[in-house]
Amino acid sequence: MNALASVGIAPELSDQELRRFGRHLIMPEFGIEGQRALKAGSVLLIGLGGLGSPASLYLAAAGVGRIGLVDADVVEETNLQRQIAHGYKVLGVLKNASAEARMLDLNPDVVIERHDVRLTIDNAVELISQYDVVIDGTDNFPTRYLVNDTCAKLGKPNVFGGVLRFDGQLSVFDARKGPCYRCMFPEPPPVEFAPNCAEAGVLGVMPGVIGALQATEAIKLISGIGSPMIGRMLIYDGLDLSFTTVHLAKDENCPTCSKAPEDIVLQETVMVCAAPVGRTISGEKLLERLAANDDMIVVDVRNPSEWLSGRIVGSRAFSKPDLEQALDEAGETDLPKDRDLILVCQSGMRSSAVIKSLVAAGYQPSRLYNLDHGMNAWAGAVEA
Amino acid sequence: MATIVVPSSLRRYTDQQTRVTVPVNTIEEALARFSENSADLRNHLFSGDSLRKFVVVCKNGKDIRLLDGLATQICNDDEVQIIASVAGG
Repeated sequence: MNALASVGIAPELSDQELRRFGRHLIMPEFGIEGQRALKAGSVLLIGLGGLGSPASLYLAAAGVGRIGLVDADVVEETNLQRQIAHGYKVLGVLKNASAEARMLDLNPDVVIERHDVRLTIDNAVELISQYDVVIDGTDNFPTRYLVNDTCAKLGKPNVFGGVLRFDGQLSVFDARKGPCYRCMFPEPPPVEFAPNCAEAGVLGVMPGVIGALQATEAIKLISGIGSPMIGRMLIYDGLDLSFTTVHLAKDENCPTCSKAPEDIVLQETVMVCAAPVGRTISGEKLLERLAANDDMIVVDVRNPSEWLSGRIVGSRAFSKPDLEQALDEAGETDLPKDRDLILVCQSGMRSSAVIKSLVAAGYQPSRLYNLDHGMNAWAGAVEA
Repeated sequence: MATIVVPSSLRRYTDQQTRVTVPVNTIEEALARFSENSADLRNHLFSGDSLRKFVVVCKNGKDIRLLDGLATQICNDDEVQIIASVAGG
């Protein structure tokens, strides 16, 4: 049971709350003490995307007293396939503002503290220290390692969820009682092994399942019921519809949690390429070469729908799957080997993989250029 | 025959098979057999002879670091799970 509730200083419930939470209160394992513990508790939800959408709504609906939201992004149409806290009416609105409105509609008594910023090494300690439990609903490795390291330093439980394609993962990393994220995965994968949802896709309901489970774990931690997923990870395979629990090892030499909390130093996690192949070209340099009508072909390896939604003027569409199929079947493509090829995707990752495939098929690495950070960093003209 | 449970991120190497059976004695042999036809898959799992630091392997649901690591013995009907870190959210 939550410490506040057990000593009788958790807040009392109003008549409206007693009605609203009736189905919690009738469960003897939870009861009025569990509900009061939730009201006294606080959660910091980092990321209001696919995982944060269901988590935010369930935390508010369940009666967590104070919820912090960390996100600086605005709602985009491509989010709506999975980020169900938002909708068409709030396109262009901050995700925090969108989620806040939905949460208050479910529970007008919840205190919502919006932090409309990205989590950084400069603000992580200040933000995370204010809350009892952290939910990691982020979408990238550097922020996940920052969340983990800060939680280990501050002694906070970190309810981890991750999704990709048809896979989901859930755990509670609490360095005081079990392994942390770095015990399990000491380093992030190189970028070519680490696609994000925009690159590799995700079935929209996957973060729905995992985000709801993250809310469950946070509620359990605050109210003190059940067994949290400390030292275990749930692996959800959406294609097989299987849930598997694996038992994790605490690493005695963990670069984070083997240290005393005060000795844990927060650092930027830099994503690196395992073995860069070919050359890299910046957006500025490509603009110069386009303006000079240099002899080259800009090849966009994204999917046709991405290409149609906005591409570098004059670029040729040749999706990564089509290109790899051509290489698999014929060992070659119709792309010339005696001209410079500028490979483009959304972030620079798929194009990097394509360059490796082309080099393996006999293309000269010196003729192959990867557009650095892809369309995400492209400042030149776009046609759609 | 032990069974390797393949995460979806690696199924492009297994014709989308979710489970692959291998007749071997240790985790190391199982992963070697599993990746023998694909240098890319081998490269995804190993850096030299060591497991990569973003891959966790479990035997019957237990991290092999709690057992004997790559030398962990496996028997008929054992399941070997490969867990690749995913960051999407």
